[in-house]
Amino acid sequence: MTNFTRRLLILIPASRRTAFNTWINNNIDLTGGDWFYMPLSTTGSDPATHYWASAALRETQLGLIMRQLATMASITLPDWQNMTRPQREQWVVDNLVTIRTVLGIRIRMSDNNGREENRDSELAASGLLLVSTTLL
Amino acid sequence: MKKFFNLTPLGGFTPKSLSGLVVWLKSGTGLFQESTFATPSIANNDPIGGWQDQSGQGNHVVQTTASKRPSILTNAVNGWSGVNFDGVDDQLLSANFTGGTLLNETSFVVLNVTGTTEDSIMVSSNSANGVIINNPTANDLNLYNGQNGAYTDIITPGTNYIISILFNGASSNIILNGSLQSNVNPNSTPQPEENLEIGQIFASFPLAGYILEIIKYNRVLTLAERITVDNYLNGKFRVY
Repeated sequence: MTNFTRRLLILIPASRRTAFNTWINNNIDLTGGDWFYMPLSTTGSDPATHYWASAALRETQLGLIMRQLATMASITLPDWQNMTRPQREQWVVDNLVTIRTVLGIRIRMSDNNGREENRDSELAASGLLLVSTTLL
Repeated sequence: MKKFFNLTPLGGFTPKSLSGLVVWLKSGTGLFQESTFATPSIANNDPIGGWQDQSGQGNHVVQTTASKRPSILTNAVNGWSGVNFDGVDDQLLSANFTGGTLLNETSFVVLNVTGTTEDSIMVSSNSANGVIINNPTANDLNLYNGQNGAYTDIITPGTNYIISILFNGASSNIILNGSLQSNVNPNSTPQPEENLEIGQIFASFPLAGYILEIIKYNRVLTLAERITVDNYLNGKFRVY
């Protein structure tokens, strides 16, 4: 079984993109590049107001991201290491609205099972569309 | 009824049996979690940061950013593994082709597109040319070679396909599961192709689906040669 048991979908406002990506590069993906480069907007055209990323993560990586989001949103830090898997899932459910309200960041966590069934529903819920280049 | 014709004469055939092979991304072979090819991707849903080219030309495809890595889908088709793209941001890229830019070329892709709400890029190169687009809204398959070719309504999401693509400018076309498609020629002038991009292009059109195998030659194969490679792939994946 893979160690990358979680998948996290993140939609982030353009204004937070650079800072959060820097944190990702310093803490999660040390050799990585730009996580948030897929542009979104309400019209599907430029300029992008949001960006999104979808990552397969280890449990520890997911915990680091959740602690960072909790810190940014000024909510109680989760004791990720001592939580069970269901407790971690419940923590995300309990706090995603606050994270969205305070930070404007939408998150959707799921098992990394190869089925990105939450992708389209999260995009629809956000009212955002992928900014698509027209091929002519 | 499924057709498994012409299998017996293929004994010993591999894509290397034909000249001009420049890329062979082989199902279940050369898959690694990192772009540095350090840790093999073996378990279902392991990330894929590198897929090593088996052509001998060193045209490997990699992804250095963790969030953009596709994952392995074991036992995807007839026991073979697929490379699963998430439809958000996954992508694999090669460096510029070893040996230089391709002008006329023939490619083969074995894939299954699962996305149903967005355009999807399956294989592309040079960020401008040699692009295949699937528009699931209309189930279209299209060749892009500097400009769009005619769309053909031939793709059904969730279905396995072996697609052979010939780019030569004058009569570029597609063979889909053994059937030659018409009216897909995008451009009368061959467009140069510099590298291979898989999963998306222009930071747009993300592919939701999985790719089993990709083979690319730096020349226009004859129809007989294309059928031979098609049969090699169909004998392996049992698609049609």
